[in-house]
Amino acid sequence: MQSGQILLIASGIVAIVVVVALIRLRRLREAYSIALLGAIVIFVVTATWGFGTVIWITQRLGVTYAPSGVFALGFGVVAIVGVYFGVVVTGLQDKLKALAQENALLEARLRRVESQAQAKHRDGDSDTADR
Amino acid sequence: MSEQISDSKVLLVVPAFNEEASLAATLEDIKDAASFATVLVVDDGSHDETAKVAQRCGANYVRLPFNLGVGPAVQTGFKYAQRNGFGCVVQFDGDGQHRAEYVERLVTRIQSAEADVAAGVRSGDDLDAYTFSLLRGWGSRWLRFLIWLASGRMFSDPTCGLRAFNRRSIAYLAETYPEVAAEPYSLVMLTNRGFNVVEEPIRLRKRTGAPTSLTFGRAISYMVIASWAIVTAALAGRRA
Repeated sequence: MQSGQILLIASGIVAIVVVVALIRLRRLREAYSIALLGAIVIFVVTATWGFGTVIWITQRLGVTYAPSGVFALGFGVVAIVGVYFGVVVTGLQDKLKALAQENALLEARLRRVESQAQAKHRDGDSDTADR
Repeated sequence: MSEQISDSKVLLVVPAFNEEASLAATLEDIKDAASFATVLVVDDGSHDETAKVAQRCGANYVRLPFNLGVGPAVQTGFKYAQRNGFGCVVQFDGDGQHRAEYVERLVTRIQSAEADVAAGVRSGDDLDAYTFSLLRGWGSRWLRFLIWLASGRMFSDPTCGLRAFNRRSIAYLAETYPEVAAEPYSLVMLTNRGFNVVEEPIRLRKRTGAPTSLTFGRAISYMVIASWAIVTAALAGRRA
């Protein structure tokens, strides 16, 4: 096993530990961690068993330092994960905006209904007093 | 349950973020010059007493739980109008720059069925009164050019926020309203979807209350975001 390969595998293991720790601390949801773990697994598996293939491909592409091919693959996977999270965040932001607007509109309606009810109540009291 | 929709009911939507200093004067101006309209202040998650000022002045108000930006704040006004049977919405800034005397002209153009949207056009003198006037001038030309490319229409003042909308455009914008660079972006959206947008000359008043938040950096950032927003609005196509 080459030193570059060991570095890549160690990086992947550290990343897995960080993701699992974030899940345990409830700072990262399981649903969103799947994309990250998937990316890390691809990275580690490629570094461990597909290293020869990656070296062969990178040499054909003219890359002199083979592990940089694995890092390029990792960068591609991270870019895909980034786009995925961009889509997720956009969806959540839309929902959050709609919820905030709905909350504001309902609060205004509640205020109006309460003030109408209070006015009705006051009218009722004054009618009773008149009688 | 919504009331029956009437084209004669006008809602003046005032998006306001930390405008406690200028809001009372704005609402007073509206009371004097546009008393035919119902006012709705949309407090966009202000940290100051904006909502309380609106309440003290007897205006209707909705309070967003946190700051969403001017686009979503105005969209909240469209949703309110749709649910409460308003046939015309006027967007009116809460910082005291817009003059209520021009509201009637914009509303007239909507109620005479002349247009779906009546957009205010500020005079050159008003625009020159601001800092970064050179940047603003070139920026405005650039946005006008981009909007022309994206929609085929040349608008004189794509960033003016004083606008009136009819029932059809209210229904559309309550569903879809831009979050960034809302004024130029919405012009492209509306034009490309067949809404008739007309322009009406207006004058501004000098800003009162809090100083403008527009710095050189923010102006550049706005130009970049607005340009990209116009491109994406054009890419969204001309669906009916």
